[in-house]
Amino acid sequence: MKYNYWFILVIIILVGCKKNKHQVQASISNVPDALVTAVYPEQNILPENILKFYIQFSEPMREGDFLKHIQLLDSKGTNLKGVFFDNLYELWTTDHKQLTILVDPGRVKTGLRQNIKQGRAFTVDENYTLTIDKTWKTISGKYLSKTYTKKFTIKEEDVEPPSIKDVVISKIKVDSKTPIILTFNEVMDVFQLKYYVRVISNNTILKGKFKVFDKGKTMQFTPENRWKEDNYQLQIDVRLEDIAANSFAGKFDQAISEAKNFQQKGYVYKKISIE
Amino acid sequence: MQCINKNLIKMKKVIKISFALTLLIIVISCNKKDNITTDKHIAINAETKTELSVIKSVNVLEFGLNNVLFVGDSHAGAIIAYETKANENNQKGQAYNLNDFDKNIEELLGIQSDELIIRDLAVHPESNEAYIAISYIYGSKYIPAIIIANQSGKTRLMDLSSKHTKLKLQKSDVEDFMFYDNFKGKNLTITDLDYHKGKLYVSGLSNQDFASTLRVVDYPFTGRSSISSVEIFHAMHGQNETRAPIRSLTVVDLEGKDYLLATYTCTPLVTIPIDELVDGAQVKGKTIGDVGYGNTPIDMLKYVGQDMQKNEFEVVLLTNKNQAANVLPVAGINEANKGEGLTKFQGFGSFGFQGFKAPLAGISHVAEQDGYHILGIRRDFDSGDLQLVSFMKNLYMRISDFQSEYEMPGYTYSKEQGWVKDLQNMMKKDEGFSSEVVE
Repeated sequence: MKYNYWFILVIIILVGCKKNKHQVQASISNVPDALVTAVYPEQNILPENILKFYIQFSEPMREGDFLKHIQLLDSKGTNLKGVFFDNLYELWTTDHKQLTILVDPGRVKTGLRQNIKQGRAFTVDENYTLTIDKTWKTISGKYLSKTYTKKFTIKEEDVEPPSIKDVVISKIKVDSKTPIILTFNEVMDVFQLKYYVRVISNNTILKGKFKVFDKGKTMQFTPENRWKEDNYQLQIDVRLEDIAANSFAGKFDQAISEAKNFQQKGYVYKKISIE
Repeated sequence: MQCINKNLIKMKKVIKISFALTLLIIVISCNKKDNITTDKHIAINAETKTELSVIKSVNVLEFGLNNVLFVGDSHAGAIIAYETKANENNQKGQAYNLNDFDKNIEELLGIQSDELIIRDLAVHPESNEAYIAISYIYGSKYIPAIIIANQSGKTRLMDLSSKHTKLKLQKSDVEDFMFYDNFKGKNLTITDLDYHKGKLYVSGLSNQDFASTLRVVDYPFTGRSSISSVEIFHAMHGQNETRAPIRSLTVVDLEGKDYLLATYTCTPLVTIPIDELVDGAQVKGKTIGDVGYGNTPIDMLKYVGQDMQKNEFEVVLLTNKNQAANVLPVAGINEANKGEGLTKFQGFGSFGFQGFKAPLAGISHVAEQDGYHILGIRRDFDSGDLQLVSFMKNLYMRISDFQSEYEMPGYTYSKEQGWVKDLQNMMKKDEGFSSEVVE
């Protein structure tokens, strides 16, 4: 009997400690597994002068040394160094769920020192694997649950800037909310599409919902209110780029003498017809 | 025998009591630690929660006139100007020798060093206290904070709700297009800002457009900012580079005319006449030098330096991520600016104007501390410890970073080496090693 109170004391103390530990474990385990949910551009055939990749995560991720977690392998499995821009300022969205990684622009643009010395980062007809390793930590302290891989093949460079002439727009059905479909003749930057494309009427932006399809080649716009007999126009900010960063303001790798052939600021427009 | 039994019983009691006390102490300390950590986090979080409407991130720091601290807030796309007061600092003028600064931060915030990102560093012009912009992890978020530290290692958090004015840098595209969906993807990263004669020069980088934005902003804020699109001509580029983002900048006076001295990645030095930076202008910058490829510039500081004969001259210090720092005498910048600049491919080395190298490397950020010191924040190569340490201007090194033959027992300085001994003694005193001074 004389040991009972010691025994009870020890049990209480241990339970107390265990409860704390358990609470901590519970709070960590409540955090869902983190994953790479997508890498953009989504297609598996990319131009030699691709400039940007967007990596999306299911959870907010930690900053710092992002290049430690990203590898680019060629078809022989060689880990290629010096492809991505070692950016002092990591380009995260504010929620820390999307990171923009740039291919070193010095290698994309012809005539720059890196480009002359090392050439383009990618080789035409070569197959590559982009891996995002699972040692990357979320802000809450978990690791990615698995390594993500994206395989792609490189094709010829894209040095054709997009043109408003090549954008095909379906016709409007008056008195309906039937969406219109916009089709580009190439894949565009899916995130810029969300900012740089609008439908206007008499200089007023129409409210509605956009959706992006076909990996960035097609958009659908559903108006909030019914279409009327009106003058509708598609308005595109000239900054809108394709995946090789050619924009409506000209190609990415552009000589100053060529710049005058393109509108450098503002918007380009195209009339939207009524059915 | 009875006596032995009594002693045994006594000993058992002592052991039992000791055991119980030990258990109690363990549990209390265990709970106490949790509570301290939690309470501290909650306190700081509660404090910053109210700040979040004021400031969403702290990315770039710059002191202007009258102790105004400009804070570049990338997440909000805004500049916040705080009217700071000079705290009393008895150690003003002394060097910072905080070789294990992680511990100071850990004590202040209750976080581990890997839960912390150093964003920038500035020094209060009057008190000489260090202002360190950080993000630290709380739950699943990064919380912005500015830590203020002095030479003794005493730290406190800056009150981010203190008196301030704020300028939102032009209405962002994000706001224009929010009705499309809830995607908040576009983000302007402020890469540098410099205050000069009532204006702020702000360089930025977007996560979606690979573009250079250079904003010129009046201070006190009028709510107006101008955006200049600046074209530069890279040394090796057969074409015009119109969209490279500026990484670091400062203003220099070249023969009575103000110029922006800007650096870009890989690492051209470009002069841009300030009077041409009007809203919407496309200004041609002049590439006066290229300090090395495969390098990312970090900070530019402008101050008055000295040579060995104590002649004073204005310099710009450029620190780099991948190579030693460059000391750029303004007189040299001026001479280089008189020429046509670099206009064609010249090889793979460093060329054009590049000043001279200084052995400052591996430093996250630097700021001018006082007339004698540059303050730097860095991680020690071997230990990984965060260090807040001063470097003497013109020497650009810390003697305690090196082990040389001078330190060997019995080393005797020759007569000709008197000046070396004097310099080393000066640095030893500055770095807190007065006992190592050689008479």
